Amino acid sequence: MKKFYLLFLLILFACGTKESKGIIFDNLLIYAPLSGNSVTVGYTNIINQSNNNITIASIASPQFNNVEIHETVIKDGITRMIEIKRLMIPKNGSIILQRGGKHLMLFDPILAIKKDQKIDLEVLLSNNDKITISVSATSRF
Amino acid sequence: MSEKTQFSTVLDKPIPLSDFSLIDNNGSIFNIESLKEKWSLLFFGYTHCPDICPLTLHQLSQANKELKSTVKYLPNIIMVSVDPDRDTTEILDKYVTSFNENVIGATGSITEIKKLTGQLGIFFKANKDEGKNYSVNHSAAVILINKEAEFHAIFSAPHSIDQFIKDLPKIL
Repeated sequence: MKKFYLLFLLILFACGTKESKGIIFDNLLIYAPLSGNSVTVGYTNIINQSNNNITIASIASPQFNNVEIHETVIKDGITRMIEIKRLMIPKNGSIILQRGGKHLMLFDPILAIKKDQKIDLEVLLSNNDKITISVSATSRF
Repeated sequence: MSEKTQFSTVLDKPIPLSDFSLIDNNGSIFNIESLKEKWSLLFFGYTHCPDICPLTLHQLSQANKELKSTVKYLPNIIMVSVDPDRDTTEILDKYVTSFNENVIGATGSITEIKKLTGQLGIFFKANKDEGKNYSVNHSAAVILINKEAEFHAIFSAPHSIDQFIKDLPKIL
């Protein structure tokens, strides 16, 4: 029995789950694009539970031609969107992607995306680890 | 004399606007006459802006909903698209009506848009060098136009629903 328990623990450890990479995408929300619109937005709280800084090198999605991280910046009354090429999540810290701040931009859906349709995100970390997460598209209204 | 506002600047003397010619989301002419006889909240944005523009339109729509029972003259909400190359009448119509059927969208040639923005101190610049999915830098202010089609007050960004709910009843 003891041997079986040890084996189970070993298998669990070797699986390399999302948790083993120490990064969690909490409250991930992606809106279905508005009718006639080829761009949409996503928000989440990215939590780094590890003792090392983790950098997101890129994000892709099989449902969209392009995914980028942007930040809305209002300076001198002018709003600008700035692309963030690499996003570092501090060790034991988090970065919030939220309305009016940093956010995911998803461009050019391959097929029309409706509410409740599954969207996958393939997150590539700077150490070449890859995390795949899925979420159902949310209606904006 | 109206009550002092907290989140907006009311002009000492409202500025009369001169004419401009845009097309609204129904395909009708939208000009100086369209702004008369009703208060209007003007916001400048574009439909390919998925973050701050829908947020502002949502805030304005929610504020109007909240103010429905307390304010005598509920203002029109108007989004002027500063991205006429992508925002066709049809796209603009789908966009604005998805927020609230009473939101009006309008756009036109860059020359005509500038006739309006120039009078209100609104800036915009399309970053076409970014490619097909270019962004547009634009002023984030919400402008209040009075029933005589005069520039009456300005709400500077960042906005919140609460700011509109608190200040609008003091002005309208």
